[in-house]
Amino acid sequence: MKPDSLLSNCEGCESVQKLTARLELMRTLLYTIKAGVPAGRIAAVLVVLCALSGLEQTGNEIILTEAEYQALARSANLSTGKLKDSLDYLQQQGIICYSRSKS
Amino acid sequence: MTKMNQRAEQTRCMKELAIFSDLSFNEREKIGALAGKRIYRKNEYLFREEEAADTIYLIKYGRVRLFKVSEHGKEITLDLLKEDDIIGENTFFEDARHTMNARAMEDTFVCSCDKNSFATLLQNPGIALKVIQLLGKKLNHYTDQVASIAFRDVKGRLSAVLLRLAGEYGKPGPDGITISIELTHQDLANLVNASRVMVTNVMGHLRQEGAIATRGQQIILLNRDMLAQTVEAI
Repeated sequence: MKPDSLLSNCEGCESVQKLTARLELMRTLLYTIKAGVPAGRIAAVLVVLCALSGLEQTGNEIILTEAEYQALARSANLSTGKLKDSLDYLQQQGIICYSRSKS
Repeated sequence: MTKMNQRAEQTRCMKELAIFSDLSFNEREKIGALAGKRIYRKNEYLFREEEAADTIYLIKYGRVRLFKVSEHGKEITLDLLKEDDIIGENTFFEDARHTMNARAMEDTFVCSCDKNSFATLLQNPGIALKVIQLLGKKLNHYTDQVASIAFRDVKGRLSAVLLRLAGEYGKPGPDGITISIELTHQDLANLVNASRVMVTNVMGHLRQEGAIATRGQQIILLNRDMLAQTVEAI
C-alpha cells in the first residue's frame, strides 16, 4: 500500500499510516489462518515454531533459522509443492521473508 | 429538521465520541463541520470488499462485523466493532480499496468523514494520539487472535473470547457478568475458528463446570477465574 501524499504534511499521519499497514498485514494473516488454506496452516506452524524454538528477534522481526523444509511440510500436512506456494504467498503478502539454503 | 438542528446533531455526532472527549468546546465545534452521519440498519453493509476506500467511519452506537468471504463461500469473521471504534483505516493509502466487508449486526449510528477531513483532525496531537492508541489496541487484539488460534484448543480460545467480550460488552449483575450482545453459537464459532457443533459442546462443558450460564442468546460469566485458568492452561 502506498501512503497517500495528501497526508504527508501531517505529523500524526505517518504513525497512523504505519499502524494501519501493520493492521492490514495482521488481518491478512488472521484471515489466512482462519480460512484454513495451506498458507494459513504453514503460518500457524511458523508462529508456533517462532515462539517455541531457535528464534532470534531483531526489532520487529523474528528470524527463524534452520527450519527443515520437509519437516515444515509434514507439520502443516502439505506437500512440498504446496509448501513452496504457501511460503511464496506469505512472502508476497509481506508477512514473511524466506530463503532456502542449497544443502 | 431545520438546518441549525441538523448542524447541531452533526456536531453532537462527532463530539460525543470518546476519541474527541479531551478536546475543547471550540475544537469539537470545528470537528462537527467535518462530519457526516448515518444510521445503518441491521444487515446493511457499510462497505464491501474491493470497493474504493475513501471514508473513515466512527461508530457512535451499534455493532459492526468485519469479515471476508473465503473461496468456498464461508464468511470468516475478523472482528466485531462497537461504539467509539474506527473502520476504514486504509483510506489513509493512495487508491485504497477495502480488503474486507463491514456489515451492521444491529441498527448502527455511524459518523464519518473523508480522508482530507480526517487528516485535518490528525493534525491535532490529542486526536492523533487517541487514534494511534485505538489502532495499537486493535493490533494487539489481532496478534492475540493469531496466537490464540496457534496455541490454544477450542475451549481455551472460546474462554479467551468470552473474557474479551465480557470486558467490552459486559454488564455486572448479581449472578455474574452478562455479555450484553446476543451471539449465536455460529457467531462464536466464527470468532474462535471452530465448528458450530464443537462450540455447542464446549459451551455445554463450561456450563456444567459452572463457569458460565446462558439466558436465551445471552451469556453470563459466573466464574471469570475458571475461564482465565482455561485460557492459561495451554
